[in-house]
Amino acid sequence: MRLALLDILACPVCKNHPLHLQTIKEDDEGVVEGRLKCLQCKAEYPITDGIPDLIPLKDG
Amino acid sequence: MSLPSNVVKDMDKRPSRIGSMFDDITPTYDRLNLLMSGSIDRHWRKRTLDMLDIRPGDRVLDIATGTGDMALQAMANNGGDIVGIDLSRNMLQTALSKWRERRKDAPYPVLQGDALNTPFRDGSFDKAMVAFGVRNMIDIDGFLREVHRVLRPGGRLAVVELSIPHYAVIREGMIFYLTKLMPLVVRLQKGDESSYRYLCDSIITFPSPEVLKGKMAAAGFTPLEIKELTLGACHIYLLEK
Repeated sequence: MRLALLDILACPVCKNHPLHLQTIKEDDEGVVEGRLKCLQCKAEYPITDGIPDLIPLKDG
Repeated sequence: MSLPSNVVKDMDKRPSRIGSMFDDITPTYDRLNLLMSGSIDRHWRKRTLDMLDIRPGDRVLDIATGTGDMALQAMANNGGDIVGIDLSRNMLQTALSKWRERRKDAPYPVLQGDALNTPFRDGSFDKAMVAFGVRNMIDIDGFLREVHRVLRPGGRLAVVELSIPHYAVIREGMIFYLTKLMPLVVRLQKGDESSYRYLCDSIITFPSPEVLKGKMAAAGFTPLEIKELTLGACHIYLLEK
């Protein structure tokens, strides 16, 4: 995930900005493994293989 | 317009269902698209991008970015900083692979997300585009309101979507193609028949351009231009916030 995305990312649930980034692994394209956290509603979103999963709720 | 009796009208369009369906068909998606469309979709995308008129420096949201074809054509056409969003992780991984092969010079950030609840601040984008993705939205009104929210004032949205022509002969020909010929192609190519059946039914049951125009206006958009292509088999809508 490219770090420039953080400028526009907001929590998909409560729309709070900015999201808090926790980096586990990175390369020259950005964050490969990590986590995005909303400090307002406490939702967390994983980043795996460089792609953040920001789908808010699984709907079954 | 009467529909063929075997068309499913109440399709399951929950985001999780759409995401997993596209995950499943990713391996055959590009090949089957090429076979079924004869590349006319490239022409429709080009016309859409010409209308959207992306300028260098524009931040552009590519909704239902899929395997990245619209983003790649946009980069070849006009440039801009494109951000892709899609429900399907497998489609996004394919999109990134294609992008790395062809466009090493420009970034293409992608994320897995739901177009009805996007993870963006208000007014984040100058332009937005969605190619052949609106018909998979469970709530078209909610989708349009969400895109309106993430566009800046004066920002533009281009929608390109398949449609059933209103000329009787052409309409019957297209329905025959979708319900008889396309399933045959999918079977011969060992594609997932139930998923492609869904895609055909989603075209046939999609709201008419008149209904769609009403929804766009209700979401707060001003229609700038609406184009009918290929005798009504496709429509492009250019809207302004």
